[in-house]
Amino acid sequence: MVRIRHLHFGYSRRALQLENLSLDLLPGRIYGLLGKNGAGKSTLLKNIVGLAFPQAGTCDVNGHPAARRRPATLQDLFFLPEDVKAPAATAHELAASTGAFYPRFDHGAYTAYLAELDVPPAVRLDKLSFGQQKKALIAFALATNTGLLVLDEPTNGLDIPSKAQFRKLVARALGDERCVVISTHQVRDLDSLIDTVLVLHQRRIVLNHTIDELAEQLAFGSLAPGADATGVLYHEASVRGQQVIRPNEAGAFSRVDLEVLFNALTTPQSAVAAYLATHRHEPVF
Amino acid sequence: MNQYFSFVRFGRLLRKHTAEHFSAYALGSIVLLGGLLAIFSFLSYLNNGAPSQGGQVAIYTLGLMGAAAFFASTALAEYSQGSSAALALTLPASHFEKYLVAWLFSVPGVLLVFTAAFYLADWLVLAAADRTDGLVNLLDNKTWLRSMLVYFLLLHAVALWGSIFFRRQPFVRTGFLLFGVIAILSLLNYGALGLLLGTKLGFSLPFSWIQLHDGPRLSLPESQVQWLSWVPVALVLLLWPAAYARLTEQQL
Repeated sequence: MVRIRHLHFGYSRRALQLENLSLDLLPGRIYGLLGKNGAGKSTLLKNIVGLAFPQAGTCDVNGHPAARRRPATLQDLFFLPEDVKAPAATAHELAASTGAFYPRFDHGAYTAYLAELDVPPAVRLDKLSFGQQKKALIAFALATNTGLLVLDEPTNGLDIPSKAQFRKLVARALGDERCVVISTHQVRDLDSLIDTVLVLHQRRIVLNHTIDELAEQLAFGSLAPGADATGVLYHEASVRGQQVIRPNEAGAFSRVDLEVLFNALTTPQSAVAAYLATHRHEPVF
Repeated sequence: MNQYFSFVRFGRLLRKHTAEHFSAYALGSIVLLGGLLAIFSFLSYLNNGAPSQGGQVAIYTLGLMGAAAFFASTALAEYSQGSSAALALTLPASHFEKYLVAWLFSVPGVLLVFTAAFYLADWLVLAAADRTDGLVNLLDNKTWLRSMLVYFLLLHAVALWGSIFFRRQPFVRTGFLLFGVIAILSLLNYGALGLLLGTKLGFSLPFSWIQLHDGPRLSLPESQVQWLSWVPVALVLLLWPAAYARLTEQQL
């Protein structure tokens, strides 16, 4: 669905934000793109949807360069930016005027999503609060049924019940033919939603693993004070004691703690990143 | 599927644009009518009851130029400004279709709405003074009409390019750039001609005649002067594709 090869991008040639980045995004998956503030998550997403053009390398969607913004490519992708500004129309009018551009737009599902997200369908969207506007556009994005759905920090501006509702709707809207990419710097918001984790750090993708692969290779847990720390790849203090990541040599199941994993991967000379790199055969681009 | 133009997609885009901007355009038209009524009323007061034909032509010319510059400087702004740009640029329609919608609303659209508002306001003021026979016929003076339309299109082309080139305050920034370029060109032209002719110049503008200081006026032969009238046309034909090219290359 999305094929990126040796992508270089920067808003100036001297300061690259993405460097020699290669990545494949496949249908049937929900990718969580994690990174620190300013790591280049939004920039990568903009390259994927054709709103930023690579300085070198390629970024193709369904076999065509995203930067060309061909109508055939655009009708199979929807991008929801972090800062949204809804048009001067009601939710129903938006569906009537814009839904027609998307061949698989589902009016029934759109109405249901609006109801579940508690968005009034007959009020002009630009008169609603930022959070309500965002929910209306999330409902629209899901109803387009595009093959590629790219959401940039979708939970920013949503209240707590809406975040939970958002996770339910996205999980329900995923099909075998659909690829969803969600960027966030609040990893807790994507817990239990994503099935593949992408971590962008220092201009590169430093992790591209499914949750199952991570659970298979790493053991997440806590360490009692004074306990033996031999073999621990990463540890950090928390209110629950020392949170640790170990190699999962016993093959036992543990829940992947995205926040601890993210911290582990973004430390200098990350032992977790080195361990994962040596225990997985990466495709050669 | 044609990736450059499809009547179905273009029709959808036209309907979407109309639906989302109708109230703003309607409000703008009412404000325009109110402004024209105020100007005509003031002109009538100064002219003892009704605006003169020359005054009506002047109002039409200046008003249309102002409307062209103002409206065109917003025509492509939704593709360059802020949070609306991402949704607008990724809407499944070709760049050409998006450009054409903006062009249609800002050229024939502005021309029709402004002309209608002009005649309505003019007629209302003249009717109030019982002088409707003084209503100007803009089609009478073909030479004026032709050159006025050319400069309308030139101003539109400059403002349209500015609307996609500048992300913030396109109207102000385009105006600043335009007057800056005219000033610099005029100064360079004046200096270069002075050096070339080796004499002091009285007045000279680019693509125009030269007034020598305490001397005769120099100009090209009449047959060649006519070619200069093609300069604004050439600029229009350069700036419209430049605005389109900028739209295809727009990044956020």
